[in-house]
Amino acid sequence: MSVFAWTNRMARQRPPEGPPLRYAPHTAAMQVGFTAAAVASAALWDRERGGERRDVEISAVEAHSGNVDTNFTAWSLNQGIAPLSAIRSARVFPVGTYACRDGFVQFTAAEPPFFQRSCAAIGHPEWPEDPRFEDPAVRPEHHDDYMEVFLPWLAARTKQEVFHEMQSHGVLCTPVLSVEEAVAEPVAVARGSFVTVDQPADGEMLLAGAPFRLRGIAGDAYRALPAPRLGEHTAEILDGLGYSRDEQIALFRAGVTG
Amino acid sequence: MTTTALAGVRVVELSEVWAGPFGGCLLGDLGADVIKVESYPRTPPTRPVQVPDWRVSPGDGPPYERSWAQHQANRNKRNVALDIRSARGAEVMRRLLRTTDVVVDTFSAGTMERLGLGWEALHELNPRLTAISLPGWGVEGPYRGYVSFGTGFDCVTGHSFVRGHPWRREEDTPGSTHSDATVPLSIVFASVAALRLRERTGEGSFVDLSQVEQLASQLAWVYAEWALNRREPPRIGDADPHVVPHGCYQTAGEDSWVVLIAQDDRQWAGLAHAAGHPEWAEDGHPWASVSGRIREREAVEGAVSAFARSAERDALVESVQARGAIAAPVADPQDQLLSPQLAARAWLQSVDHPFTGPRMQPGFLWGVEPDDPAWDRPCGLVGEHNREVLTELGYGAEEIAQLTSEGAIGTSYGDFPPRAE
Repeated sequence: MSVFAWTNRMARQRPPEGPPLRYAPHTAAMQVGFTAAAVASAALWDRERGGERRDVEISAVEAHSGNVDTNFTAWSLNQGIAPLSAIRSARVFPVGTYACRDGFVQFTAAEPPFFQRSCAAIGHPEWPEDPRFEDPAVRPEHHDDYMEVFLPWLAARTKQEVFHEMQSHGVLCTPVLSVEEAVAEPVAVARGSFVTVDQPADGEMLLAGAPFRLRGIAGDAYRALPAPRLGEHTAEILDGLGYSRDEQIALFRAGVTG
Repeated sequence: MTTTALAGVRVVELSEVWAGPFGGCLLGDLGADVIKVESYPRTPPTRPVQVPDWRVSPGDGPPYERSWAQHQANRNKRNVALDIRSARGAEVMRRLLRTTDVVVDTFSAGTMERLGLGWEALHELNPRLTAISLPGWGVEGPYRGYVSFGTGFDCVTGHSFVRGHPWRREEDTPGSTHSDATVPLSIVFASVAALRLRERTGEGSFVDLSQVEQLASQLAWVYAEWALNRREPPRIGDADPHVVPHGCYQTAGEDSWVVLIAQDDRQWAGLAHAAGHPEWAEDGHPWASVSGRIREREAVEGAVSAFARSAERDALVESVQARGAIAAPVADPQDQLLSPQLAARAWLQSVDHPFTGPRMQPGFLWGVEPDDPAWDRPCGLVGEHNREVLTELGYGAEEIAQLTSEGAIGTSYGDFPPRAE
């Protein structure tokens, strides 16, 4: 969380009133790891093809500060702070999280063509030509007119119904899912987005699957393995390094391995 | 000159907003020849054609060349504005792809096929070409063709469900665009993996990169509680179930915040000393142990809040850090501009651009010795490299002029006149 704080990410995440908000725990560490993997893969590949050896340095703060979602450039070009994402306002709508019959849905549909499509979805395809909504500069004055139809339309539907109906019109809309719902989503099940590994001592464990699927001519090569037990591969690695069994026993007795 | 690890690799980028373009940026930082193909003549969402628009910096010239939203993810690329939906533009595109190693698209699933650029067609056109496609929910599956946006991925992965403050209304938790930051990293990794595989097989690969799945891969903590205990993770805001104190606290001043964390007794002792209450960490005090602080979470948090509220932010951070506990200011861009650490590392870069002038831009995600990344090219102008790239592809001056007159290539959006070259 302290990395988030140093990098303008947390300063951006300022809900109305109250303290800034981080992303979920440990996401910063994961991102630093992925950053290291990305640059290391390029450096290693180049060395394999005859390029030079490289010394790569990752500063967690720089790896985050330089990434795109800090919106530092908004400040450097305009001296402005980019507004919060997905927060409801009467000026720009429908954007943000709205209640529906059994939970919440999120919209990012203020810009064309999504606003126009949202009007069609809620039964008013004529609104984009209506003087109240045609001009984005005038539209905020008629926020309440839009919401008078939009909110009851949501309230009459489940989040899955809203999601699929809106998507059928091409509107940027998603349901707000719990973890249990997320892993059971039809698309997650159909694609095998989550994988099960047999984790020694813990039994079957659900993990997020591959961050991408590379389909070469040999097929999809991704395989998820359980986290290794403590020191599970010590002997295998030392064997590979040429240590004899006696040497390995000596290392173990000396407390060098365990 | 930037890093040369990917020198000799040509990347064509067909993407908008941030996840795809920033992936192209990172490949360019590593030395790839990245050619961004604009959505010409349709205006991309990060290039506004009308002012006033909060994204456009003051100045002269077309607003779509002064938009920070375009600038922040498009360095180190060449820019071609090509109407790939026109017959002539499609022919140019095919000729370009014959010379390309990796093509990245962020269209909704099915669009590449409709453009005649589906995987089979691409593979036939150039068997060594790798195609990376990153629709929101992936190329295959029941949500194929659904439209998507970064904050929406937070919603469908469970991230937004668990990340808010427990006392806050769901509607008031801001969205995050975390996937826009992490998907580009997987674009780099997938590109290199495919290039490496090509050395063995001689053929390119197809990469199905679901942005939802990529984000899920970043959320180990979110899924662990469910995976191990079949419990929804608690909504804990800035707190940590096992670490007290762990939070974001207001300091003296108008709107000034600091993160304070003491993960163990040693760090807690440092924080207690900085707060002027060394007794908080002494034997016998109920807060001296991790379990004691968890038991009395509310009281500890209250005491730390009072300490933070009484102190000036930067002095507090320095004092707590000097005593070995974790402290960080909630920094904004101006803080970063003034940061002695970033200044000492020359991390921020002054970058000149024809329409914005010199501006301070963020540095790179990594350092590489002996060839550090560099801003070889600022954000490209619309069609800035049309002539250069098409000439490389073998088009003559007359053909390029004809393509321009037919509208297959261009250098402007909306009603703005073509840029003089």
